[in-house]
Formats: sequence, C-alpha cells, structure tokens
Amino acid sequence: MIRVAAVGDIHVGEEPDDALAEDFAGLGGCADVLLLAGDLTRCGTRAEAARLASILEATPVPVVAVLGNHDHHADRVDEVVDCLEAVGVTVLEGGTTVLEIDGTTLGVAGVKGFGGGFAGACASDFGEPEMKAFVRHTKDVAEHLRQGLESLDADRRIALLHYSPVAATLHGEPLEIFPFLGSYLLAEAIDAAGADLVLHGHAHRGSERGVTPGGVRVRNVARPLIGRSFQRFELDSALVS
Amino acid sequence: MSEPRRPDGVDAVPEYVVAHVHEALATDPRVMEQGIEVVATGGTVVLMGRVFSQGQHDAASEVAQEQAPGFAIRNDLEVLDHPSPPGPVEQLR
Repeated sequence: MIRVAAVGDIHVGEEPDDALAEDFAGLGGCADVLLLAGDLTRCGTRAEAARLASILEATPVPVVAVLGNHDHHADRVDEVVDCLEAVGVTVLEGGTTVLEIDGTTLGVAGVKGFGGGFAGACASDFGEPEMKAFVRHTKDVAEHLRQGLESLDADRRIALLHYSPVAATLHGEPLEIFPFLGSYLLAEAIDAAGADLVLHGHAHRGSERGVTPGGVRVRNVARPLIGRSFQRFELDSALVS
Repeated sequence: MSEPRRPDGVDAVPEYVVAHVHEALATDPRVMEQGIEVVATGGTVVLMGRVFSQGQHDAASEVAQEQAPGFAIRNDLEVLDHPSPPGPVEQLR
C-alpha cells in the first residue's frame, strides 16, 4: 500500500502560512510521500521560496514537486529550485524519481506542462513565431513526460503536472480559458507511456476527477478546489489503471 | 502595483472595467490571483471566488477600486478555510 498526499497551488507568499505548515508537519501519520503539483509560490521570488523551503524542511515524508506558472513569474526559477533542493525536495521538470515504499516502488514523472487546449478546439503549430513557440513548448514538455514515464522502472507510476491533460477536471472554469489551462498533448503522452494516476493543479475552479482517453485516472488537487492542505490517495498492489 | 485608472471615456465602460480589474488582480503583487471572477453590474464591481488569506481578500478591494474608480466594489471573495487533516482517502484499486 502506497499512501500519497498531494496538493497544488499552495501559493506560499512572504507572509506565514501556519495552517499549511502545521498540516504538512503532521503528514508522517497518514502519508508516505507528498507530491506538489506546481504554483508552490505566489510569484516565484527567492523570499517566497525560502519560506516554502522552511515549511517543507519540517515535512516528515519525502517531497516531490513540479513548478507552476506562478513559480516562473519572477524569472528566478533556478533560485526557487535551489532553495527547495537544499532542503531535500526533488524538483522535476522532465525528470523522474523512484521511491521504495512498503516493499513497492513508486515512480514519479514530473513536468509543469503547458496550454494549448483540447482535441477539436486547440492551438496549432502554425502561423506567427509566437504561436508556434507556444504550441512547440507544449509539444516539448509532453515529449519529456512521455520519455520520463517510459523510462520509469517501478511498480506504480504517477504523472505529476501543473497543467491539466484533460478538459474534464477543468469543468467549472470558463470554457474560454480552457486552452490556457491544459493540453490534450499531455494526455496523449501519458496514454502512450502508461501511468496509474495523473495529478495536476492550476484550475482552481475546476473539477476533482477525470480520466484520459486511454483510461488513466486524473485528479485535480488544486488547493482552492479541494478546500484543504492536501488530498490523500492509496494505491494498492492490485491497482489496474 | 497597477496603474490607477481615470473614470472617464472607455475606462467607464463595464466590459473594459471588468477586463482591467481582472488583469490587475492577476498581476498586482498584493493579490496575484488569476481565479477571481469579476462582474460589473450597474455601478458596482463584484468580486467572487476563493483567495488564500484575509490580506489577499482585503487587497483585492483596493486593487479593484484603483482600476474602477467610478464604481462601488462589492467584495464577495471567500477566504480559504483550513479543515483539520487528514481528510478523506481515495482508494485506487
């Protein structure tokens, strides 16, 4: 049995977030790992990253994270990553990690993801350089995700994202902004490589549960949506994706 | 901080006021929240959705007022509650 705690969009600012710190510090009794689905800071400054790091340093389980768009805003991604890695957090962007938990191996492939929309209503790799750059970034990220998942040698595999791979977990958000909240290219990569679970955030007003076209469970764990400091999942040895 | 706007010309058109308030709430460091719903009804701008702190909640009114000086601001934002952990478990089999 693998006990996963997951949350995205914790948006740690420069002011204290005592409730989050207290809840994370108590994770040892109910989770084996904490997965963070991006937007960990309000705007990606070093001061915010330092406050986040102090919270995660006191978290008693391994922490694996991807960054989100908020973490990029101040253009200090390297400093944010350095702050988190200094306290033992594994930060993924196209990479993978494997943890051994209760005799089972859990593999996590993580990317931020990006937008573009969903099949039938999505941006195309065509036209102005800016539009092509937008779509090609999503294609690149999706390819890194596929390669990461395929490379994982683990009993269970989780895809950890910030942006959504499906529209189902966006319902509740305005339809007009779906292309800025995710891309079907991420789902296609996940279905090509296979996974047991997809976790993402970004869509604060979305829905909690969805599934990829290939049948992989998708869960939106954005903190404003789930209404608590983390969501809990248990993956057992008989899991069939 | 966002540049305050003047309440005349196109800046008084509700559709543009909504757009400017939404943009300011997403980018002003005092709030920086993209998920706030903004509606202009009559002479009032209404803010709805969830924010993380009382500070963000209160700052949203300031930011909105700066962008909509000719409008009243109704702040219906909800501050995220923190129920005690551990919460429910979804068992995936």
